[in-house]
Amino acid sequence: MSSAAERARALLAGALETEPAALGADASIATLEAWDSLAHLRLIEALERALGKPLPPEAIVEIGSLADVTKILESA
Amino acid sequence: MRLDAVGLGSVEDLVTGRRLDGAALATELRRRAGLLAKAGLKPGDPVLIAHGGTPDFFADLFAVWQAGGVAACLNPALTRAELGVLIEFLKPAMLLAAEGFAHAEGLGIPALALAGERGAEAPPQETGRTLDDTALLLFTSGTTGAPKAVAHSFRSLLARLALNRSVIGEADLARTLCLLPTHFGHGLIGNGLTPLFAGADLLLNCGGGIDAAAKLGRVVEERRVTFMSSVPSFWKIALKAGKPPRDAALRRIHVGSAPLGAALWREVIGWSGCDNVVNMYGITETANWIAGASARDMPPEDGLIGRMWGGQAAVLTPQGMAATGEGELLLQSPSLMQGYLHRPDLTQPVLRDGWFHSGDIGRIDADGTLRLLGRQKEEINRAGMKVNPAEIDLLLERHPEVAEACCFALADEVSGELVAAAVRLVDGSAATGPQLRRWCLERARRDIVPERWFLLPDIPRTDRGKVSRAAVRDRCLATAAAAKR
Repeated sequence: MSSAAERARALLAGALETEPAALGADASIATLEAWDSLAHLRLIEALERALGKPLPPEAIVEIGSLADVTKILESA
Repeated sequence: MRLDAVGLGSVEDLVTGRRLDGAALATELRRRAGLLAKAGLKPGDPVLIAHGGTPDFFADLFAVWQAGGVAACLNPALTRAELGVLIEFLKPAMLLAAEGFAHAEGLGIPALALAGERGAEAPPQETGRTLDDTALLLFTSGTTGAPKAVAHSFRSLLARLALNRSVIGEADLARTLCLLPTHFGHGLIGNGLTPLFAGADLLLNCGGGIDAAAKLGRVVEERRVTFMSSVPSFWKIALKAGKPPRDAALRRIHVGSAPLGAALWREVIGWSGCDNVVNMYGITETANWIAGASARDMPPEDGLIGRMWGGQAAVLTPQGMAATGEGELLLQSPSLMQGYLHRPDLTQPVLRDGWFHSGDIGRIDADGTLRLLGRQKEEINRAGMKVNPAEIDLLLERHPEVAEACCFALADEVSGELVAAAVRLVDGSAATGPQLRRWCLERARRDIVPERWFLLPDIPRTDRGKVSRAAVRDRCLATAAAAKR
């Protein structure tokens, strides 16, 4: 597992108040009941802290899966 | 109650495009009132309305009132078990749902979806109901065991709607956007019924969430929205995910149901370009909005909620009641509830000598300006939704592997507070927080299910043997901090 993938899993787990191990590789907003708009904002704020810069509004709306979070960390 | 003679405004669902103008709403509510009578509804009968946020919800609500019924507006996300508790408590004549309602079978009462039912308009009937009869029930807690339903009469509702219209003004209400659910006072009475009873246009986008936040600026701009209300956590999302409107007609923005900090208050003004952003104080027991402070009149300040919108406030100090000073806020209002239905034990402590004891701690200045300083009641305010921790304790203690539970509020940057649970498991149990959460979700709507879990060897008690939620929270945070080191 890449470092970005591990960090993404940890960030998402923190936002959803769950353990990283509880998130499958296919974890997404459609499959996780805890991923509501409040958890989404927690995730965005954690991501912005990790990146050290704000995310553009388009990116905030487009993030919908663990894979998306990983991609953003990889591209930083 | 002759709803078809009110002169209602229009209501439009921005998601589906369905729209009922005032005339269509009057026609539809008369038709549905006929269907309700045909289905056996008698004046004074309670009716559960288990859907919301659409023009059809308002048509159902008004039809229930037109037919003389008592409307109990429910969170559509209630579980089957919670519905069973409410039916047992309320003994309703029927339940109104949207097409495709998942729990329709086996409830023991008829479940109707009136939008799709055939029936001609019914002429208005004299129902024998008076303004002081109960019109509306809103459940503030207890859906998993002992329901707590705030009962409002037509008189208290009409008083609130008239006061809102008078303070807000018709020009501000002209095109109102509602982003809130319609099963609690803020969304239903403040944001929904206020413009409709003023003959204004109500635009609904009640699903909330990221999508509504991201599109807010565009909707405000394209629909020339003049007024909207929301909660602080929605604004935190909208400020990040949504582009501001470039050319807006906004005249007034309310923010309520949870504390609005001065910094966020100023950010909303900056994003919207509207300086009339009003920090609202509203309680279900007072039919929602009862005081408000606009940044146009006074600079944003944490806790500032301005002057009363009708009625008066006092504080309960250690020396007794006082018109000014600090203490529990006591309220008098023509929009005060009748009480908690079937629960004199809960009503008597809060309705005394004509005053409502709010459970909020505040300060009243010599000029009548109110500030909220905190609260003495135990409720948890999760993004504007109030959760009674004692109810969740009892729910958790029904779990066969939970020996003892204590729920409490944890401060959270996004939702203001989140619901946390400290649990002592029975000996030998290996249950985990996620497992307990899944068990709860089968029995209760997700709004009230704890998000953070602490499994403790014992629940700390005071030296008098009592559980203090604050002490439990401190122990949990200390335990978590120690585990991180």
